Amino acid sequence: MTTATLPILEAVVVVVAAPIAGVALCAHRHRVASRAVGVFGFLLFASAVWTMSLWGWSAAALRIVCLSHAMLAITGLAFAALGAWCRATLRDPLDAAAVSTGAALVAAFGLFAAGPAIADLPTGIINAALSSNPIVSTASAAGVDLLRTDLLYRLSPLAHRRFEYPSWYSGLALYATLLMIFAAGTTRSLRKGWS
Amino acid sequence: MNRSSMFVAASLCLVLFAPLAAGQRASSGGLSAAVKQDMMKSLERGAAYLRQQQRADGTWENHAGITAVATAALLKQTGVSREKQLEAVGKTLDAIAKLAKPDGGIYESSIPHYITAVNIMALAAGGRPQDKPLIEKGRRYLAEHIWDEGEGIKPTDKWYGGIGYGGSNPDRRADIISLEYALRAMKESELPSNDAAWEKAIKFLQRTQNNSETNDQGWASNDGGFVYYPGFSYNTEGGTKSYGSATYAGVMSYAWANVKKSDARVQAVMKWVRDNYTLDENPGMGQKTVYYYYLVFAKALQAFGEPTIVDAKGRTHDWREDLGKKLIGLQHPDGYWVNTDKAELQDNKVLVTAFSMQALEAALQ
Repeated sequence: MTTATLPILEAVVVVVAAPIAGVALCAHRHRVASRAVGVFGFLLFASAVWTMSLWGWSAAALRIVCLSHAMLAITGLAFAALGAWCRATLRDPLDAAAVSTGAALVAAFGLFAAGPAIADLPTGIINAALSSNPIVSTASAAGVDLLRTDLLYRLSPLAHRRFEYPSWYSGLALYATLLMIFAAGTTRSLRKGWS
Repeated sequence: MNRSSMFVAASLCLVLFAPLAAGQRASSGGLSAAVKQDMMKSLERGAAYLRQQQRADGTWENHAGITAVATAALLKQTGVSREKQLEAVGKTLDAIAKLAKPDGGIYESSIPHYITAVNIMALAAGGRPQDKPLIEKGRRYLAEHIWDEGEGIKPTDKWYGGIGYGGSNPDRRADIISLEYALRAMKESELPSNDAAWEKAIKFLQRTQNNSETNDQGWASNDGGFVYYPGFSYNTEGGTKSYGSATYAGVMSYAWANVKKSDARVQAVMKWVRDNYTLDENPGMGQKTVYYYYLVFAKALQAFGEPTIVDAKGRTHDWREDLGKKLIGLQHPDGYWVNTDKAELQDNKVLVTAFSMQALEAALQ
């Protein structure tokens, strides 16, 4: 493992853990959820400091670490909000966990699992799919050429097609929008209650 | 006319016309005048297509790599004055020069080693005095990014002497195609032949070759060809079987790195070339990246310096003529070439046309 692998691994952890955390926290009071967000923020901060210490303290590294951790933060909150929304909508917490984690996994890994079907799509659609992928967006914000890493380059036909990585702001904007939609959906569902 | 006069006249005819007949095939290796003319016309149609597709700012396809390859193709076109060539791509060379970074790299953001290599080739083909400092810095950038002790890689490591895509990629891996591009750029920009980078590259080359006598890697067999990187091949049959484009990239790289024709490694790879001579496909890959195969086929055999290849069945092939006819046959009436297989951007008409033109240009040299 090299230091550039860190943001990718962190993104994978966030994709899996955030929806489950959202499901778990939905049943608790607002104060508990706020504390959990605080802990998440602290963990991200600690990770950013650790990454900086590994990459070396420079303006370029600081920019990359800030952008990739901002991406991690926003995707984590968006997926947690998705988990909370599922919990507020579905009676069974296990159903909520399964649906929200499943959706997060599809968002993160569907692109790589689809294989040649995706690779034959027009470049614009491929680029849009890459923009909506939380792992690609985080890796891209960290300046990591994810699709040309050895394993993906060998296995994914996508890596051999023309594509553009998403800009950091497009990924942030997309997941900020999703966060607002999921948070609004959660609030609305909680007010309505399980009918 | 008596018998002796007839003999003298016939001898005179032979003396006078034999050189003329030989001259028909002497230029550009063994090319016949008719095929050569057809190739020149084909190049003109390709160039016209490229100029048609060029954007107002001189670039192509909003892509730094495609722009560089197309620029080099137009600048290397034989039979066109430098003035006319620069008229078409002077603006493009300015745009390429603007991509130069303080460390010598010439790229936008992604795959910096590849993009720097093709941009150096475009600037070197342009031959403008103002681009010389950029070319020198660029070739040094490439030479310094060939992996060695500076990156903590020991000579015993399988990646030693290779080069990867560059950028902050979590993997440390090199490959023959990236190395071929870097070495071609270093050669075309006249990196001195005594530069240490060449020797380091040879280490990686021999570890990518299926030649167990000179390859210290356990996987190496003895077909003489090349794989993508030590221990991994894209040959569709799987395993570590050699395939066409990697092998010709290997031939060319050995030539650029000044390995002699008589060297056992070159002899081994030329055996693979003879055993697998074809222009119908990229051997081991089918139609995948077949136009890059044509490019390295032409450049490798041109660098190797033999006008003909005798295949495994003992048939002699004039490779220039074979390639010329093949590419002329594949050209679309509108002047472009395109691959039916989309891998590695070969569904892009501009890129594939530029590859084909450069292959024809190499065959015409």
